[in-house]
Amino acid sequence: MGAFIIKRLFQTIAVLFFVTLIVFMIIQILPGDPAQTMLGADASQEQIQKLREELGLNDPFIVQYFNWAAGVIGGDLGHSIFYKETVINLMSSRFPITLTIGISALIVTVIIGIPLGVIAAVNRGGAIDSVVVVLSNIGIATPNFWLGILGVYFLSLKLGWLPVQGYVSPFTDPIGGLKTIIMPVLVLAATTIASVMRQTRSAMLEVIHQDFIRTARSKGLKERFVIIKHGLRNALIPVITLLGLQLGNIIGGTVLIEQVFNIPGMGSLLVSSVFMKDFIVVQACVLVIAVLVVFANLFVDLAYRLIDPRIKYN
Amino acid sequence: MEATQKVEINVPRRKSEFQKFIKVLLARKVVVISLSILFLLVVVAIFAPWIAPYNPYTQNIANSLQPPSKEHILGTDQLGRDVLSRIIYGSRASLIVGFSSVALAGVIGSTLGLVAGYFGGILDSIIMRFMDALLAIPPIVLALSLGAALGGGLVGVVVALGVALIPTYARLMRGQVMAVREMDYIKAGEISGISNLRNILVHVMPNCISPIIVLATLNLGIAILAEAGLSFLGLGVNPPQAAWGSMVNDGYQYLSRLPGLSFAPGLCIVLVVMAFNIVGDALRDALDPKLRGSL
Amino acid sequence: MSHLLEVKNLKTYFKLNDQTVKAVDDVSYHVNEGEIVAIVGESGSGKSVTQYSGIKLIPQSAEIVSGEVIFEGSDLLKYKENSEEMRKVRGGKIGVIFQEPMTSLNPVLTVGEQIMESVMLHKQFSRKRAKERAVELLNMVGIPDAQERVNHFPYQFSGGMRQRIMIAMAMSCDPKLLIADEATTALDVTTQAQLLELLKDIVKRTNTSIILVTHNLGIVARYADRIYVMYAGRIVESGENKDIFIKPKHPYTIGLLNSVPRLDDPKDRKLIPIEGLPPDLANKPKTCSFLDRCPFKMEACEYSPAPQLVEVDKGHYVSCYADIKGNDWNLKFEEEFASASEQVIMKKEWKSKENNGVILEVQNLKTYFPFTKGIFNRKIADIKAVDDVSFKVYKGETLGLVGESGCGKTTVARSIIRMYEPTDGKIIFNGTDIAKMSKRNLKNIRKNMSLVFQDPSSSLDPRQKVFNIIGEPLIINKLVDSKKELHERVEELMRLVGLDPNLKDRVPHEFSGGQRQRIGIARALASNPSFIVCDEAISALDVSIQAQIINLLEELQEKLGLTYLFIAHDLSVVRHIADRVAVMYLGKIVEIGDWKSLYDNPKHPYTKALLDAVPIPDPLIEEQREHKVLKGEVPSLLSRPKGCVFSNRCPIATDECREMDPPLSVEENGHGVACIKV
Repeated sequence: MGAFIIKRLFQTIAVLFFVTLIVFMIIQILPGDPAQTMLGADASQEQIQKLREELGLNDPFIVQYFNWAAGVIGGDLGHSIFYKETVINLMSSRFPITLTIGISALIVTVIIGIPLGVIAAVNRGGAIDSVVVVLSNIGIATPNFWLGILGVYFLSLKLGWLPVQGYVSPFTDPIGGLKTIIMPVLVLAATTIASVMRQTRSAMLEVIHQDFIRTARSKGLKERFVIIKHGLRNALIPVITLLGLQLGNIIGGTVLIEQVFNIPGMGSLLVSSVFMKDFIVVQACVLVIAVLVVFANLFVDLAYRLIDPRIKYN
Repeated sequence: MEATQKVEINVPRRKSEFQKFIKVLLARKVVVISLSILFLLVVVAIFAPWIAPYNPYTQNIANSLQPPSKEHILGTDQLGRDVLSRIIYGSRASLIVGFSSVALAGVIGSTLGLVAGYFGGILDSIIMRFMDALLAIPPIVLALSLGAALGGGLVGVVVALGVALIPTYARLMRGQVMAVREMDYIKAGEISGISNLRNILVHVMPNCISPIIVLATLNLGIAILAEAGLSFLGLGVNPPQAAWGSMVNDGYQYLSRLPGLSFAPGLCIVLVVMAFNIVGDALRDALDPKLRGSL
Repeated sequence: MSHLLEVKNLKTYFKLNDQTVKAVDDVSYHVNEGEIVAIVGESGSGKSVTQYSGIKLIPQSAEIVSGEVIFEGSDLLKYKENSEEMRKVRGGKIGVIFQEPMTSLNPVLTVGEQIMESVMLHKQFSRKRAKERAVELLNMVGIPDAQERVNHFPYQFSGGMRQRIMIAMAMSCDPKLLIADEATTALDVTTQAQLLELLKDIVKRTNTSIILVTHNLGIVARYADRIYVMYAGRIVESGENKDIFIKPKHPYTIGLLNSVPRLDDPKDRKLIPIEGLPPDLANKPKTCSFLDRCPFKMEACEYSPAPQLVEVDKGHYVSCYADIKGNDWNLKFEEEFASASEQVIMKKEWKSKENNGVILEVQNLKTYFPFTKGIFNRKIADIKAVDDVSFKVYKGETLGLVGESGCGKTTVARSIIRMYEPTDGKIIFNGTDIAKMSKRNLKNIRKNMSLVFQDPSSSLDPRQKVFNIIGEPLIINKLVDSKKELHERVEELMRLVGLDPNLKDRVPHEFSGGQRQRIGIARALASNPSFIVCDEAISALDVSIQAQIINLLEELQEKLGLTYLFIAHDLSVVRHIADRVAVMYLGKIVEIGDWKSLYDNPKHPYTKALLDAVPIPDPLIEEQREHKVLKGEVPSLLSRPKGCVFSNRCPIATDECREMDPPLSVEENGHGVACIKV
């Protein structure tokens, strides 16, 4: 186990190395002079030269990368050209918002997706199963920004139940916060619920046909017992992998959802920076998101051990 | 020596592989409907100029934001352009981006996966860690950043989405290749001294390709969703060209007045993506020799 | 007298797409208290589905159409699938031991938990008492350190151990009836003997009845009281053990017995395979199902409906027209059977082939695999799969290499063919050492040696036509000059192995298992090799098909002058086909010799134990054999015992054996033993 953790950490470091490389490339592939591109056409030669030096664009590629990477490790994500602020400062207020929404969506996904998937599998071919299958098909195909707009139209504009847009932190104003957060969270979770439901259903269906389920039945156990004690624990293994990957999709989804609901999170920071050509901030946002996903997957891999005693890591 | 001459010929010729494949594929009605939707989509995209009732770019401010009527079945947008015509032209953006990015990702990703799985070793480790890294960045985030860095537009979006989709192919292909490599029929070839190239082309590839085709079909849906997301954010085909995602965004401002402006293009996205997903799942079943063997 | 279990006219059909597969078609049988009843049949005969129908453990696509399953006076078929009553019977009164020990236990629960839940349910034991019971049961089935092992997960046990745990689980609530569904098929022969003795012992002690579902006639002869023979969903013959083996009446039963090699066969016996294939159960003929394959069919059989079981002797039932019409058929049958037996003489008298010269000599072969651990896959030990093995193979002979799983026999084969890189030693083939030869030089050698794989379905590329599969070695080695020649050669090869050349454009899955193995053999023959390694080449096939392939291999050997290295775990088959035999244990050859001296006069304690464990399909002989059971399990290659590798299980081992690794000392007649005690 110890060896596995260390090995997995080494792998994570390798992945993180490639992540930084990819993120670093975002500025490298800017057409022409990156400094010129970022500052816009009306920037003076002096300003451009200054930014070139700040970014170290005059150094060889390798040197540039290592200087940048050293900065990142030391907590220096650079300065925003547009906001004239350190990126760390910019993020400190926005990252928690995105994380709050993302984690809530993940929790909703688990609470709704897994039980429905199990129920559908157990009643295969029945009414509930059909509803679940249809809903998951629709859910996976529906763009979340569009679902958000539908929600705004019906729940806010027509029924007036929820505010149209904006964000109030649920930690400072629980009720107002909950009202602003509930729709973005549900919309964000819709796609992942659909995927998790589907995956749980098919994992359960596969497990139900395994030999050991027949063994459990041959012992005269109650069917409910067979499904939950013998079936679900085995079916959860692939579902947990999926959850790890879904975290990335949820964070990716916030980019669009924050736009729809006008929430000042990481996603909207990323989008506005893209349009401001503030690539230092873009770089930082992508890096933070990727690192988050990498560590979430590491956590999932370790969590495997708790559920599945078989896995012998090699 | 009698038994040697005795020939077992009481094997009735079974249905050809292709017939069985088609039979399983078309077994369910939803699949037939989905295939029809996709066929219609392709026809509409190709023959858009002949099908669309109006020029999608003709502005008529005096006639803006009209509700659905006989002349304009889905109404007009804020610039007075016919919504139906723009939806018809919008299918082009979805399909072009979808197919090109999936093709790009499929070719590069499968090749990387094939190399990693077949040769293994340090090359495998490097490729796969790189893929893990790509996979850690959500596709929409990667496509947004890369697409913007590449200067946006159709090409930028296709390349960015293509890169974002690479790792799924690489992973799948690698897994397939590693499983196939362990099969005795590959070993049988190796014993008779087969070359790597022949082995890959004749034995490994054909046995790995089915799941890749399934993945590509499912990824078409994902790519179209992502393209819609990008154009919703304003990064996609350049205006005034029509794209479903940007139409949803344009309509969002007039939601309370004319919800249809947002609803209609969104519904198209849902239908098309769902059709690709359903066909992808049906392909998976039809290509699975275990399921097909039961027929 | 009322029976413990009585099944009457059971019909279980499968609905697959729009076809109805009559898996169980009007089957009746009974089991008395304390009795061991065997249900014998090949795969697809419906023997398992019959058993699971009664306790409704059948797949959803299956439907019990009609019949009664009376158990202790009540009809189980009246109970709903998951009803209270049914669940009381399952596990409580009827225990089941499934075939696959590797997949039949829940991987994420401890074995203790899996035993306990049954006890808690049916006996209302508290958790604490249930755990005590679990430990007690594990002790009973011979799991060492049960107190500690009860908390382990299934993957921490070997296949044999898992099957013991299955037995403990099935026995946990003192059932009246135990269904053992091919319970030992997946296990090695010594483990199989251990488990069957254990089961027999349990029956005797507890008066439990057992239904042994199996295809292995030897096991049946050794353990069963009564036998039902199933074919294509029906019982074709039933009776007392001795009735079936000594006076078999149904042509299928006779066919089965004739097609299986036995440990006590005369060497020149020729196996008589059952030609053809079982019928498609979805389109079963209205006539007798065995008609197509029956060597004794009469004209009347062609247009009569399927025959019913009729009592021909006291308690001996047969469903065959020939016997019951009361004419002189019985006589005619005996004659034909006798003439079939005469074909036995067809095989030539056995002669040693040592004078032909050596084709292959293996000297001190070692094949190690690295055992890695830790972060950097550091090698911390060698897995010595083959450890210092030497032997010769003479031209035109068959050398059998036998041993249980993990003994290294397959590694030897694959090292010789250079699928695995040998770590050390020499492999001298036709005078050239190929152990360290470069890949390029090897190509020329490889034309002369080839391999027939175990699994005919995974060894043929599913996407290639038979023509391409057989033709590939010809193309790679440039053995043909033109397309026309290629076609001719492939067709010739197909005819040679008994396949219709017209089928060359089909893909492998359009063929049956036996036919696929013929394709595999044709491919192995394509480059005209003189030496062929058969790696468990027949063990994936049904017994009646095995005989076909064994005969084919023997005919090809004679016709083409081939030399075989025949790897197998079935000692009866090896005895039948091999000229000389080597026995392997834990990576070493422990005994080698010509078949006669090795089988008639085994010297190594392991060889003796192996031979003792093999059941012979003849109850008279089985009655007289002493069933000695080899204790313990094959240790892991990493914890190989010091000194003699067999010393920790050997009944005659002394301290000396645990010190010194015995060399293989060969006598003048070529019989070698690695044991200091003989």
